[in-house]
Amino acid sequence: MIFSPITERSTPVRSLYVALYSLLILGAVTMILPFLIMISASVEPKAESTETTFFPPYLFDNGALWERYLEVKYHGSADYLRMAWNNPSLMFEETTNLLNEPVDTEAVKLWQRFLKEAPPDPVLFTLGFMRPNARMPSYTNFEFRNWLLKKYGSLEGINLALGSEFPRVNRIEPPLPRIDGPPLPSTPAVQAFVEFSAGQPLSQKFAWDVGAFYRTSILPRTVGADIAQYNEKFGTSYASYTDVPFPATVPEAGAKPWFFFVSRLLRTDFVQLTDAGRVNHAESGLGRDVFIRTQSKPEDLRVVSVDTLFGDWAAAQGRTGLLIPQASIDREAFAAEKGFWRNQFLTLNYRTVIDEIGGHGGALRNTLILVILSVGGALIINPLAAYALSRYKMRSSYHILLFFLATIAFPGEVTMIPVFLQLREFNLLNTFGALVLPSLANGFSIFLLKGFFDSLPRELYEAAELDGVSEFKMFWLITMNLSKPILAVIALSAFTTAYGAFFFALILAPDPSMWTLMVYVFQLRMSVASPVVYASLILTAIPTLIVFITCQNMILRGIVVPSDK
Amino acid sequence: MLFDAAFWKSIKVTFYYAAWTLTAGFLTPILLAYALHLIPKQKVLFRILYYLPAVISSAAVFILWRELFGAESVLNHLLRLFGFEARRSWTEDPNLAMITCILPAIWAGAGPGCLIYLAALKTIPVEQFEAAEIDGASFLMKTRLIVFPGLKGLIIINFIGAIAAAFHGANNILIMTGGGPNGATEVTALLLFFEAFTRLRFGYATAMAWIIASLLIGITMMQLKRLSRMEFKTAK
Repeated sequence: MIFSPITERSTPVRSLYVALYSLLILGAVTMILPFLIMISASVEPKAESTETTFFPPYLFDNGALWERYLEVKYHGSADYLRMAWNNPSLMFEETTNLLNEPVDTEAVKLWQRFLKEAPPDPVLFTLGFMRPNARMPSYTNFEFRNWLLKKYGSLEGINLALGSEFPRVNRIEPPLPRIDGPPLPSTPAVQAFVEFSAGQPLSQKFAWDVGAFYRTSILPRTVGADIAQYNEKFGTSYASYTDVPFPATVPEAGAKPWFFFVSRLLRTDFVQLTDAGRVNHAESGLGRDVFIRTQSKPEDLRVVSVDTLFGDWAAAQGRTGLLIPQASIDREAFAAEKGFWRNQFLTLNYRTVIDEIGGHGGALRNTLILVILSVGGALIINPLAAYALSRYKMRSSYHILLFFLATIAFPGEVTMIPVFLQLREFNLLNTFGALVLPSLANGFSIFLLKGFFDSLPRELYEAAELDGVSEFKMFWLITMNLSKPILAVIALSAFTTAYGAFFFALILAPDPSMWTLMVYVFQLRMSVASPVVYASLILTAIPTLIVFITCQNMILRGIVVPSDK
Repeated sequence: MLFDAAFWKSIKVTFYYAAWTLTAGFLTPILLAYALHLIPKQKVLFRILYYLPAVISSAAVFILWRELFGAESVLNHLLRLFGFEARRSWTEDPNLAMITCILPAIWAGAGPGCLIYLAALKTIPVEQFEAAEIDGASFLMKTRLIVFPGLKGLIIINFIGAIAAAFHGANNILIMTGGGPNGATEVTALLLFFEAFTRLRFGYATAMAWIIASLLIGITMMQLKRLSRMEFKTAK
């Protein structure tokens, strides 16, 4: 200690301590805050979150959780949210404040009776919690993979049954149902997905509300964003697009947009042919879908969807104009399942990374071998070179040392290509040799070690020489033994370099069987959004942190430092 | 190349960058180590906290900081809270861009860099301080007469490595600013990277590498001479 126990209690020393602690705490806060931001970002289910937070906002705030729940449920698509809630201008960000709106219990009761008494075809519903194009993990995808694994036993079984060629289980993507475009083809994969969907709880699905989609997405885009344009064109007087009805057959007012939507855009399995349509279809001699898209007349078509079925059913019960109360359904489902989804959001990004790394038995093994070879090699080569320079005062040792140091004068970008060419010449690409050899000897480590070896007491070697100890034993028992801490520093830096290398490692060993953990994580980064990238950074930081925490005391234990007196 | 204005500008930027890195970046670990050595309690906790940045890959550190320096970032929010006009991204401001490249490196390098100094501080015999205390030496006198001589050799050795690193700092600049705005942060190592890998003029890039390397070797030789003089003294 610099201060004796007595002076430690004096005012100047105490104020020095206070100043030091406040500075250190301030610094420590700046060290921790970026990590909090990272951890918070790594459990974010939204693909593009604009806010920077120090802890996940949905942890304590139900409104934030609700917003994320809706975004994930509706495939991250504002169009689908608008469809489900029958609101042409709603944004996900606006839903935060809409959690505590009252639930329309009467409508929900009718809806449940409808599902029980006249259950519609499951094809008219879709599974939520899928994330097309978002480069984010999807709950439904995980469930589908597990379901397939359970059913077919293994990846080979799945590929055999589905006639697919998925390289790994976590590459399996379910087919994506859409409300527009052609119906899904009847492949084994689609059949498996339909079977899987049938077994999923209703709270994780939502109905294809064709009428609401027409009102909220199609009309504002085809007729005009303002309802006045629609009223003017079709002689109606609606207050907003929400009020425009969508009957199963062509309406009198607004027949043109109805027919355009149903015949050109709507998925054809939502469309039925009327009696007249069947006659026209038979006359045309075309396939059903082609007939609907090209030759059909407005009177030929009828829409079959959950909303039209529900509307007709409710009308039969004496309630006309009833819509699917999806907002109320969502509120009830959320109230029942919010704990479940909070946990899912917290773990989903991490599960993606673990699946990516754990799916390769070789990744962990390769990393372990590489780290052992690199650390072991660095601890043998560098000290040996430094020992030779330190023990034997050759005339040219100064120049040799300068030569070693010159190697660190060139940036890695310049040496990369010659190193690659040389390793290819030696047929070493795709071996551990390629990964270990280029960074094995480090000019600066040798220089550092030589400095420390120089400062070891000469007398030890002289005494050992008198006792007839062999040179190797001297190196091992005296030099290495007394330099443990500096060796630990070198081992630590060799570990972090070998563990963290991805770009160079990918170039020198492009064969996937040789990839290390970091290469896989690097590859993963190309295909996922930033929250998953943050999750991968945190997961891969854990080994380094453990190594440091276990080694830090050894590194600091009594080091020999050159000094002049 | 020698008649290329971009090259000479990059040399100027390199020296500017190196000057900052070698003063602020080199001193911080030493001061941190001294502070960690002085405090009586919670040494290990602080040591681990300050080492945290080293556990994530260095590219990640800079990506993280780029977010922090963005126009709508926490940092700007804080500045606005104190009434500053902070609307633009730091990395796009020619006067601030260089700071955004250097600050993360200092932040990430302080913890790992201080380890070796911490170890060195531990080797200074306690008796020296006790003797100094009896002689009535002040804290500053102890620092100047006991601590500094104890670290001097290590500082000189490490300085050589730091010079090499300062002249190679390209990755962090590439991530933070990409050399911009308007070449304000385009150091030679980065120019070299662009020449070699985006303009595919590898010979030109190698020539540049030689210029930097010879510069570095010159500086290193000067340092080595001083070091060998010092060792000579130690041997006596």
